[in-house]
Amino acid sequence: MNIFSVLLKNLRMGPATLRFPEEVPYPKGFHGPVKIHTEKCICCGMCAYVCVSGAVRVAEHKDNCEWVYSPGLCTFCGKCVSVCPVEALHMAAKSAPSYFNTKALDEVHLVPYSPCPECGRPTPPVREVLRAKAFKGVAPNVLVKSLICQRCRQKDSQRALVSIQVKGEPPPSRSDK
Amino acid sequence: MSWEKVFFALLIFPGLLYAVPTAWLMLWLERKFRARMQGRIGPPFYQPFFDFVKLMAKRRVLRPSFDSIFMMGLPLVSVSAGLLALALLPISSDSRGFAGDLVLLVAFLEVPSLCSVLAGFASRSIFGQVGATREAILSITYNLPFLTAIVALAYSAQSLRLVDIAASPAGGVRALAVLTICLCLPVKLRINPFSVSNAEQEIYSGPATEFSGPQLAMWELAHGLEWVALTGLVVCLGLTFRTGTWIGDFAIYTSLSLVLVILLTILATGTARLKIQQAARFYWRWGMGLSLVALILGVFPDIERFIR
Repeated sequence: MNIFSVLLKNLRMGPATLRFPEEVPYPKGFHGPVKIHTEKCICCGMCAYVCVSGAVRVAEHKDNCEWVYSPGLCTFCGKCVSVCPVEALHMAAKSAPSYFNTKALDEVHLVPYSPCPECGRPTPPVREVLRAKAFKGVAPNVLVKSLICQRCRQKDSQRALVSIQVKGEPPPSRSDK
Repeated sequence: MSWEKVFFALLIFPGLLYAVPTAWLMLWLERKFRARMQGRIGPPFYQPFFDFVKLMAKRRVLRPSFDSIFMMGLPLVSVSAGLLALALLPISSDSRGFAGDLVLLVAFLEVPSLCSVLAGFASRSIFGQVGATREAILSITYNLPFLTAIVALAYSAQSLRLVDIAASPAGGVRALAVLTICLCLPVKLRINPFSVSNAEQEIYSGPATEFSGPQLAMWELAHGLEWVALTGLVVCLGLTFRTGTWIGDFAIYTSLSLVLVILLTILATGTARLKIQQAARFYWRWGMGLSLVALILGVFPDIERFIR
């Protein structure tokens, strides 16, 4: 094709530049900043564990856990999203805005703990997704124990050990089968 | 020429007051039109003026005293040469000129290129030196056909006075000579396909690489004035008639200069940079060929009459 016909075509078509509010559509599966659904999070800390740049941090407190995210540090690799066992994380479809201060876009999300059904102390929440995955095919009397806190779970297993080894009772069945 | 006329030509039209805004207008037109042909929006029309103001406000880089004299002086010389060349152009029919002003004009038109070579070496930058070397080689290359065409024009008009040449009857010599001068425009303006000396992808800005602030602003202005002077030269020599009124001459001169700018921009946008050997071959083959034919026709006018 003749270059001058290309130039003429460009002249006739007008500029291809997009004015500011318009933007080029982002591709499907674009890796934007990480977003969290706090109502799905179980505070397991896997996201913080796999994060290479330290952009995701999880801090546990007495009655909630803090999910802290710094887009300024993030490399948008998507590893945290892929390892999240409950699919609480996803990546935004658009890139983060530009900013001068590295901490300007930092996000802090609180994941409230739910009370333990036995002792009432706040405990990291256990979601249905996780129960369906981790306690698959478990007897209902054991499934109830999945919601209890770490202390109660330790107490419970101690009690079971005592009843088996000291009192000679048969172990409680783990499965329906 | 009376002193008032000299000052009018230098400071008002076609000198400082007319030339500087026109230079900015031409620089803008070139950028804008190129952008549009490349599918971009391009700068607003006041952009070259803003560039100039911004560069003038920048801090000067401290250099050894001798270098700094050169680097401030050369762009200023270049700008003044452009203005002086413009003042000599026989735009209006009532301008008289003086014997030998053609030689002076050619000399003034060559000064920016010479300054650019000197500036490239004075800046002590390796890119500046490469650019200056290329500029010097190109200057030899295009000046051969350019000067031959000027000689042919002068010979056929039997005068070294610009007014006489502009008033000489149209003919083969004049057409060929002006065509040769047109061919030399892209290389004199350092635009594609002959932007060898300021090849930005290879040697940054060539001779102007080390220049910044007010010095660079002066270079930009000098380049704009070169646009005005060279397109003006082609229009003055190529146009065979004058309207007789000052306003008419002014309008025709300005509009034809802008048309030339657009044509040169189309050429620059549609072509890629040539190697220096290719550029030299082009000018020594086609440029030289055309201008030699013009010279022969000018020296032996019987040939042209015979052909007709």
